[in-house]
Amino acid sequence: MELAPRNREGQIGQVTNPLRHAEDRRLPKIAGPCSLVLFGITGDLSQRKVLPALYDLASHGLLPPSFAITAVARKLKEPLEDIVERAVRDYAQTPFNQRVFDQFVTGLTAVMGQYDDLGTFERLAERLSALDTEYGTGGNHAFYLAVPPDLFETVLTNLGEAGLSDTSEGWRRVVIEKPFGHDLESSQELNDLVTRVFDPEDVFRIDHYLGKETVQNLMSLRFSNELYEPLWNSDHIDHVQITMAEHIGIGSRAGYYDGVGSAKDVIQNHLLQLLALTAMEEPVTFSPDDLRQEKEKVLAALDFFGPIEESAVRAQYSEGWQGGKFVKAYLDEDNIDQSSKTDTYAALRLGVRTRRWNGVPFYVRTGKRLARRVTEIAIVFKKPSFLPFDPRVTAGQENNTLVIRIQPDEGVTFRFGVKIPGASFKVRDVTMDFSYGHAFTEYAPEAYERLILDVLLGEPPLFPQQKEVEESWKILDRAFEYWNTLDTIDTYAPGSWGPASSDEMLARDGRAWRRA
Amino acid sequence: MILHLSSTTSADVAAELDSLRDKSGSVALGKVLTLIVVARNDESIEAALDAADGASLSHPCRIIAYLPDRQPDAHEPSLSAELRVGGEAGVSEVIILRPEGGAGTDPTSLLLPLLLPDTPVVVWWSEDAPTNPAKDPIGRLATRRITNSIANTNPVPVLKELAKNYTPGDTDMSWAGCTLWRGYLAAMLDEPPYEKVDSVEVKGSMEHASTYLISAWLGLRLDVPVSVSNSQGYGLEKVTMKRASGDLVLHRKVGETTALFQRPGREDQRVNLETRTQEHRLIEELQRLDPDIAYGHVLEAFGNGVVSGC
Repeated sequence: MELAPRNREGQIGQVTNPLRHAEDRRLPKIAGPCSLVLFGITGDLSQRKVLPALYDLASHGLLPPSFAITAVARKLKEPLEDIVERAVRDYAQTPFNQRVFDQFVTGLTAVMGQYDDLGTFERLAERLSALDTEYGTGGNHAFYLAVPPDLFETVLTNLGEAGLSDTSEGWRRVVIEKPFGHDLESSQELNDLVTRVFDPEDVFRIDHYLGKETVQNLMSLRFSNELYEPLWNSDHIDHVQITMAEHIGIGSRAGYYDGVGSAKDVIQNHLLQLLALTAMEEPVTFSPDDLRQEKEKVLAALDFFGPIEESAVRAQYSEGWQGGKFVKAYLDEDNIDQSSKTDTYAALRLGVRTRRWNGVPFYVRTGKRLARRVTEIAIVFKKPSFLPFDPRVTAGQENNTLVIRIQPDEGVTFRFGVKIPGASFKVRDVTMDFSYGHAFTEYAPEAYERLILDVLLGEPPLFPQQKEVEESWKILDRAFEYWNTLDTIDTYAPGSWGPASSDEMLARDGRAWRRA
Repeated sequence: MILHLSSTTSADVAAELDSLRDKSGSVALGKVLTLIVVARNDESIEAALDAADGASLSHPCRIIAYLPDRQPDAHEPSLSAELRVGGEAGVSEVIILRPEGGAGTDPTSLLLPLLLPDTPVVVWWSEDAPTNPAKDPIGRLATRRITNSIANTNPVPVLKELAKNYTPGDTDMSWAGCTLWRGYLAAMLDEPPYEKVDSVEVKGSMEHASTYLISAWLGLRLDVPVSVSNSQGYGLEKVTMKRASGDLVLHRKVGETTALFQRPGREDQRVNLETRTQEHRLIEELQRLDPDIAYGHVLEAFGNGVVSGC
């Protein structure tokens, strides 16, 4: 499914490339001439995600031949090429190929200097203008802010001051990574800051969990099939569970994690976006605007399902054995304050105030050190209103459940009851399983790869916009208002599925979390 | 596991596959298509199966290799079959059908019982292709029909014939061979100055169908004269797009795996441009099972003589 009509089909700016033809779907869609300016090239994000993804794009021939990367760095302890090569060798999906790499780094340079020094940015401007003339990047530049959020203001202001957001020569785009603020107010401040320098449509907020495939799968399941959409409402759906669980702890990320926590790190963006895509009405078209409108409507209609005291749970992992290994409690991790109340687990019970979803709770949960790594959306259907069987016949049957697995093993399963073979009539649940990996084992690009290519192609539909970010913060801010009144925080055993209080939240409704 | 069945029928082959599946756990569910490979003879089937097995890693499928009936040396009509599942067949399951002495008179009846339900059927003629794939008895079973004019050292009459009979769903392996070249050539015109191309020169092996298809594509889309000259190498060697400001050249020297990307006023660049293996071309062909209309138009343009001298 193509999400948005490509206005670039055959069109480069206003110029038509006769070799690109709408019907020619085999011709690779290579990004147009452009460059990427990377702030924070030695950071974790650049090393693990951005540079490997760029290399993968290069090895699939999806970058323009004149693609250039410019690193802006304070100082480099080793040659720039070595830094890039290590990132590519360690984390790229495609095998290392010297020829591809050599080509990849031909346009690689660094502009050295402090981020708070306007001179650095003036040198960057000179470099980019040299690229335009010598390298053919045509004035098109993307700025990737792979730096901690507290540096955004400095970098953005100086980009503006140095005239680097000027779009008279070509396009200018800025890429920022979540978190988009830490509450409603700070997200608005960040947005004001970004939009002072760049046009709102040139701001790309990257959330890699929304890497294209996931989102498109969800929409093709819902809207390209006849089977699901007629049942996609409170008449047939009992409740929805959205889970993103990790089996690892916070590792060495205390500096980032403490004070942020699971709810702000994961629910605010990933899970509420998945909720919006699950609950939204069918967009009129899959254009960025129409899609965004439907997501915004859901987020605006989102509320806690019942009193907040019964609809928001947070907890921290305690120490214990996990899968054969003894692991530390959150409070014993390096550099964590003993009095920290940062949540490593959070679960919310939400409702969408629309006719379609009236009375249907959406349970969302996320946590670290849970039983296993999984991200999924489970649509739990109601039991049939009438059963022409003796109750003992269907005793072994639970609600029909449609599960959209996002990772690992992207796919769809459906749980339903079948008769157990034999003389007696008894029903038991079985699972129909569809796995993307089995049906389409061909190379599937990583989320970052797709998203970066979308930035370079200028296709924004899947990047959350400011209104969505704000609506999501409104919900989270209310959860924190409540949690801040509590003196204690629940704990849960590592390797479990979370705290007892979270199970109780569902038990009160007569429901239970899935063993995902 | 490899199993040989002699004097068998398609129904027995299907039953044997079912029972193998129960025993070894190989599943037909989850396979996305049935690929029928029509080979010339027993000598050439293994090379075709190697490519198909490799492609099945990307597209899990049931592969049915069909060897045309060898009437002359036949005594009694009989069908023998070879089944490969598990380790020997990668993620696919392979059935090799060898009809003899007239048992292959009606290939449809041999193949129909073995096609996976509810999934597309693709037929690939690994060497000799029928002149009208869609009307061929085996071609009629498929929604996608892949010919391989590369296997023919005199591709012009073959392509002419295919052009005459083109039906949506037809495609040729030589078209997949053009894809990387086409990608780079289109990228050249994505860049400024957006100037009109006046003429094109293509240098490639005159024994290779890709040379003609890429010429036809350039002639059709750019609407300019295209001249073709022979290269001693395999496949394409060089494409030159002539413009007032200078030539845009994509040049892969014979025997090399990278090409030179040459543009006026700019430094030459090296780009990765390997000759694609049969397996890679097949993987690409199986990626989209809807008709490749663009190929149809290019083939039609070739048939109409867009490339002079062919």
